[in-house]
Amino acid sequence: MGINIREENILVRMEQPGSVHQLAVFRILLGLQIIYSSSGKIFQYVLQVPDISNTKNIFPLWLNQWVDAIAVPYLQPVTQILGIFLVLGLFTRYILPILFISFVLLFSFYFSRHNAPHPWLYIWFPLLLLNFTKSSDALSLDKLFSFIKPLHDASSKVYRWPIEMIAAWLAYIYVAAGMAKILPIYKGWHWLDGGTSQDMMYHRFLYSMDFYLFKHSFFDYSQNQWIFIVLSIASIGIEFFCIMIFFTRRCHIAIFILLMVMHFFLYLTGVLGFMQLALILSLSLIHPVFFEKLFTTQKLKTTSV
Amino acid sequence: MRWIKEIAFAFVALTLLMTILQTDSLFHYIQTIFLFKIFVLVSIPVIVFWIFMSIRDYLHQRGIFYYCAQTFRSISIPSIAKYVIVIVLLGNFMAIGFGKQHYPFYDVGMYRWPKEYWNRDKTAYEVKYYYQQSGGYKILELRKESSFLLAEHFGWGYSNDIAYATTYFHKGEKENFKFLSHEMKERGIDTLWAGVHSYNFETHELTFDPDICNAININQTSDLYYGPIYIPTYQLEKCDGH
Repeated sequence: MGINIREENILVRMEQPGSVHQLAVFRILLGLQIIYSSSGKIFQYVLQVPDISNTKNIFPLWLNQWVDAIAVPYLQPVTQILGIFLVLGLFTRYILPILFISFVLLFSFYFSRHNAPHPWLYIWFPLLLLNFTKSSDALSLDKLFSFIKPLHDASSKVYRWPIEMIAAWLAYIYVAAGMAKILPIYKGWHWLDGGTSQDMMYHRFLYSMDFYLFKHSFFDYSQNQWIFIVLSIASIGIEFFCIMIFFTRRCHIAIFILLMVMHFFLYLTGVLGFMQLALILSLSLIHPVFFEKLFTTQKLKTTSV
Repeated sequence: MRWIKEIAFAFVALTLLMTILQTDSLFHYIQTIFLFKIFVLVSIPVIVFWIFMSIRDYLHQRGIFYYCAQTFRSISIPSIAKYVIVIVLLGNFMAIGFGKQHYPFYDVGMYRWPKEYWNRDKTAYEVKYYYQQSGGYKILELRKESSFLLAEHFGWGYSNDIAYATTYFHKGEKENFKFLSHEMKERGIDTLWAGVHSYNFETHELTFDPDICNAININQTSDLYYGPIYIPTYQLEKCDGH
């Protein structure tokens, strides 16, 4: 059965029925992740250790200096508190712009001193998108206290486009990661010789979950180049496969499974930061009908009781 | 079928374009490496032809770019959101194209530069902090602490990023040791020492050597991930006194 890109692509899907509950669940999970990420002691820690990162951002110098001064005393608690509001869905429309600004500035400070793309890379754009959505139309205090008037149609396409954009963001992260590995093309083959995978697995073993749980390596990491070549090719294959998100929904389950397998393997071998974030964005790969069925069933059960 | 051809051509042209854009010393390589000069000379006409074809198709209201632009315009998304999406798209496209990052626009290139494969020593070493407990010793497993289920000391707030920073990124800094030492003192552990954890990938033999002088030696002489760890002055002095 061939894929009809013209009928199944992401732009067409944005105009299809969505799920108010899917968007609401995403809002809650994103809020929880924001609370977790902004509660880290990393912010206090990076103030103490020397700044060895050489990162750049789009902000002017005066703003960066200001952010340096307010990040820990103000931005961190503000982000945490507004994250709680986002989870509860309270005053959602009003807190989202402030939360977005607060989050982006707080993690600008983080990135300037701790050169790592997690967790902000997964969060900042979906958080920005939520500003333009009706994400508190369900599972929120705004709805409970009638602060907002939700749409009558819980399957409106208004709830679909943000979810598809989040799926697009997921695709961007992985496809760009794959491209970064093979570009410029004259060093792409070099990446595939397995050296990076070996370096990571060999050196991180004594601090990996695999070690903590099993005290045993999967195989001899000091040799066996072919296994590292296979792992390198597989990682790039999975990352590029995510491009199918743009063209069709049919590969979503396969993409989800492959991403989880990849992240779980990385988690075991010492790359710990990304699995939880990938799981949250992967919510966008689930069909909206699933959520409508799930919540309709719940509602019916509650009514019959 | 036309779409697939267009996408494939765009992929080839963009790969060539990004390779040129991501080559820092472009003119130096053109002058010094003959093959690279040929690559650039072949690439430029391909890229120009792709741009020409794309613009021509767009003006004739056909092709994938025209379809995407028109469909995106017609989707019922708030106008401001559309502008925001386009700005983010362009920002990220620039980041990916040039292979550079300007927060929050990111090329996702943390594993961009490959490490060479080589047959390594069978035994891997890691110098870790440990403390005395009940007549024995206990290793401070820094990355374990970021797991809710496995953490023994730090708990909430000690997430993966700080675990990574303390274990690798800042392991050679005195301030990193001071931070960890302070955290452990709050939990009733006064003194941290550095010892050597090692694992043989062939025999699967796992050992931890609490000998403080051996730790100093291994720290200076072994190929350690992210370089040597910071060893406190009292350990260096105690070892000198032996």
